[in-house]
Amino acid sequence: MPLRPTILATALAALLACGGGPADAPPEVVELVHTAGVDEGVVALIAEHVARARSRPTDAEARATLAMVFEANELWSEAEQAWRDALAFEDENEVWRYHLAICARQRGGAEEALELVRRVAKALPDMPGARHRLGAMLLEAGDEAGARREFEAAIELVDFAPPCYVGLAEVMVRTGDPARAAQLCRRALALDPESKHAHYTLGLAYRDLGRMDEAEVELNKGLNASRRYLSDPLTKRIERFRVGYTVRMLEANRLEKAGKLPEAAAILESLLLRHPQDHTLLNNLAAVLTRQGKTDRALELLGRAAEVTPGEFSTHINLAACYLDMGNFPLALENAEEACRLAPKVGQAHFVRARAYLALGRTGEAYAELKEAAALDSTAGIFRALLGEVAGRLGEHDAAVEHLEAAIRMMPGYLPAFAVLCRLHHGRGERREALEVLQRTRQAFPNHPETAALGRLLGAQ
Amino acid sequence: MLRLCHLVAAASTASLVACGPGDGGARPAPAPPPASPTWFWEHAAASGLDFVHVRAHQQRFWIPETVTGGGGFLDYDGDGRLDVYCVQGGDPVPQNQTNEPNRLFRQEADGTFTDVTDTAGVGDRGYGFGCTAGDHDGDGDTDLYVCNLEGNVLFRNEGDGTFTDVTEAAGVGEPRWSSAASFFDYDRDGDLDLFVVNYLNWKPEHELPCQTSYGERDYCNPINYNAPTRDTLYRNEGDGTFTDVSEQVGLGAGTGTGLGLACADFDGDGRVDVYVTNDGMPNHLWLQLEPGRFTDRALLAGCAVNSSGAPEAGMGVHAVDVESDGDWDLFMTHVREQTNTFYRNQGSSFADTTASTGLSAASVPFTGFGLGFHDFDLDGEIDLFVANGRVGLWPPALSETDPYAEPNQLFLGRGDGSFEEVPGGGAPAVALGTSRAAAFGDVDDDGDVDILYIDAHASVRLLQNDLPRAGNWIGLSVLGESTAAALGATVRVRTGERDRFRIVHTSYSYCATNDPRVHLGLGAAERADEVEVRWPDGQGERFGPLEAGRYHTLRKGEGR
Repeated sequence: MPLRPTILATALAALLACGGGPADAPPEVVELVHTAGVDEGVVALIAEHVARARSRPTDAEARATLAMVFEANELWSEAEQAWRDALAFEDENEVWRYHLAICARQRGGAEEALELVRRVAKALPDMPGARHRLGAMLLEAGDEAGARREFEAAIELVDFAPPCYVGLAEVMVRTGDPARAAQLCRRALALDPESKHAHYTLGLAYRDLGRMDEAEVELNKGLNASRRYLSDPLTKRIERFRVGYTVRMLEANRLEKAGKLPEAAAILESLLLRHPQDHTLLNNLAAVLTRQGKTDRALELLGRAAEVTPGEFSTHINLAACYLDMGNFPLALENAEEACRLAPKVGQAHFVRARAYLALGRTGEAYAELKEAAALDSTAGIFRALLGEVAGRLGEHDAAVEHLEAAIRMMPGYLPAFAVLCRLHHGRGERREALEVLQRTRQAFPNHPETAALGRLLGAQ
Repeated sequence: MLRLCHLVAAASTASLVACGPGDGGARPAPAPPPASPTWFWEHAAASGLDFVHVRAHQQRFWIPETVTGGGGFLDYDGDGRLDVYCVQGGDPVPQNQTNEPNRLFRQEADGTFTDVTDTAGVGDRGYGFGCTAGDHDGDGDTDLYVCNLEGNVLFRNEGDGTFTDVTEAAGVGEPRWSSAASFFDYDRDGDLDLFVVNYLNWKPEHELPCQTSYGERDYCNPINYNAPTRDTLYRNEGDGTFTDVSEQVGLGAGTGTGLGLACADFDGDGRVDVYVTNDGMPNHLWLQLEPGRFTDRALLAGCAVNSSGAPEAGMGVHAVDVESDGDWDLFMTHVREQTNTFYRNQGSSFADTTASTGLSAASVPFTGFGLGFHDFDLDGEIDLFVANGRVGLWPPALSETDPYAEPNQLFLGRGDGSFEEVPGGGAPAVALGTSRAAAFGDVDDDGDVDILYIDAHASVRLLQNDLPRAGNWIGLSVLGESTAAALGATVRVRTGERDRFRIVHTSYSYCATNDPRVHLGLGAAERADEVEVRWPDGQGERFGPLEAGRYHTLRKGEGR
């Protein structure tokens, strides 16, 4: 594969910026030469800002705005160069340098990024984002004392920002003070109960304190976490330039996971205007709409997806789920069967077939399907939860308990697994076990109506 | 509902300039390396190793193409010289009979290699990944197990220069896509069992149209396929057959996307455990908490995910005692933007101490696969080689001929648990490739460790270690009751007041089989004062003192 022209252009621009060009000539405006396949909206936005920068070749702000466009759409190499160009005109702009560091880190320049952020934090000691990010970078570099200093400074500046507490807690775990780490994580979770990073770090702290049961719960809650960074004076502006398919899809995914379904749907709908035949987009939007109860629209989109890419197992899984929500169980089963035929080794296909069987009252077949699904993907807690519930219905008590306990370990935030397990024990007259599950439920969901209902059921108000 | 996540492959960039030199001057070794050192000279073609790996004849962007490339060292004919086996890719289409065969090269007395594939009968044509070597039938010669996309193969060494495919009779033809495997004696019954790491439940019809954010077609993340799978444990029945005991021993409790494995007693209870690196999913630490029963404790032990709680793209792995404290630490390679990770064994848990090893920032720009810790310069301190190569199109390309190529890396051990990168990876003259397996062994029996690595879709590379020596060395052939290596034995080597610990194993790195001999640099020490071997059955024996500068054979029952 030949070296791509965009890279050559960038490299040339870099050479010129390093002194290879005429003495007073401004650096060439960075552009995206190779545009085939790049999202049309991104190409148009870049073209607009390239033209703007070219019309004002010595305007630092125009270069910086172009850098923001590149950065917003994760075109890191071009963004990095554009930030360098902007700084060539306005070297004292530390917020720009901060973003140069972000882009340099993204393309792998960890050491340069650290030095850049170090300089920014020194010049702008009251910029919480820089102090927090410097703390994270120092932690990665093994400088725990430096990281501690920066996280503490960030907390002084913004005592309401959970990532600062989690960062400091990480330092405490590494330096052998798990008690303090746990305290910091609990503070972070009080501010943001959904912070997976805080849960994970709290799990490590509990482990080091010897509180293994709690550690396991918290570590599972924290699985698939990612480090969050604080916003800075350019964050909102850069977000407005996020028009690319990839970043918008990921943003929608993030919003959906956070439960912000209307916002996620809005992003996906806007993308669909430009990509009406995109099979992935159609499926993902249908998934969000189904969760919102908008099954008619979801069905329409899935029908389109099936036309665009016939024989795609994921569309049939989503169709089956949609029909289940609509109460059309025969069609749900038909699509689930097709999904299993197309992808016999995909756990989700068997899971949705199990749900269809259950809806049709075919419990035994559902149980077999759920076992198959769980064997294919042991990481899906939801499979184990339903498997436990069905095992309980079929009188396989020990298996039910095992699966439900596994589901609780894998999804400590999934209340139905606790409730089913509690009711299962209660139904068998196992009061001590039921009360123990109730206690765990109260710890995990202290104010939930279902918790109260379980308490009433067991007469343990 | 099913969400199709990350269908568009993440795309970002790598530096045009590879990692620069370390700060230099801090290394206490007696003979510091030159400023632009060439540690290794590439001798593959000159020595007759003419294997050319094929990732795919027609690039379809199917995921098997990204991780193929295995091979390594074994002494198949028992002449004391390491031979070479290379695993071929081809085209990952189902039931494909047209792939080029794997190849076996016999090392001659003059150090050249002769292709003996046909004579030996090991030219399997499956779309291949890793391989492992060990004496599964206890007859004293080295057998070979090959991991394939569809159906693994066990070749029994007949002891006369030929092998017989005994897969079916032995019952080890794992039909799932396997990446790596290891022979080890988990039940301490004296024969070698087999752990097989599986990657994905994949078929061509599951492929997805992934792209970079520049709109180019590219390989998908394995998580896109939503098809993790379970690993397999075959118990050796001692009569040439194996039984799949995966469910029985507890492996059914965890699925993943496995690429690498390390077998060692991580919790110090005397029973061997297994660590599996998963690609984009939490890793598994299968602890044998009770005999014959494995439980995944990776999350609680702190070695399932990174320090933020995020799963990483685990590739190769090596269980090694970098700190010489008698327990097995873990180092594993990851995709770019994630650091490679060093997990220090703390007894009952692991701590991610990558940052303090100096191996963190240097790994961020690259995607690591094969790796090995050895004392390449014989100064007494363990060093590290990492084989790199991309799995996606991340501009700028570093090679005009291979957009996935990256430089390999060599790190000098400072002796305090930290490392310093050697510019140019110790072999600056070798062209960049997309490296996958890296195997380690003293191929020329001159007392230092050489490297064989497989570049995807390119010629095999043999790096012969020609560095001026910074100290003495000692080699140990640790043999069980037959003449084959006692895989799973551990060795403590004492020089003066210092102990060094090693495992006798062939399966570490990525998709590689390695020289089973234990090799140590001794620095200024002129002998090993004492060598203690802990055999796989738990018994211990002591040998020595043993003089430096040669290989010693330590046979079970001949110590004290």
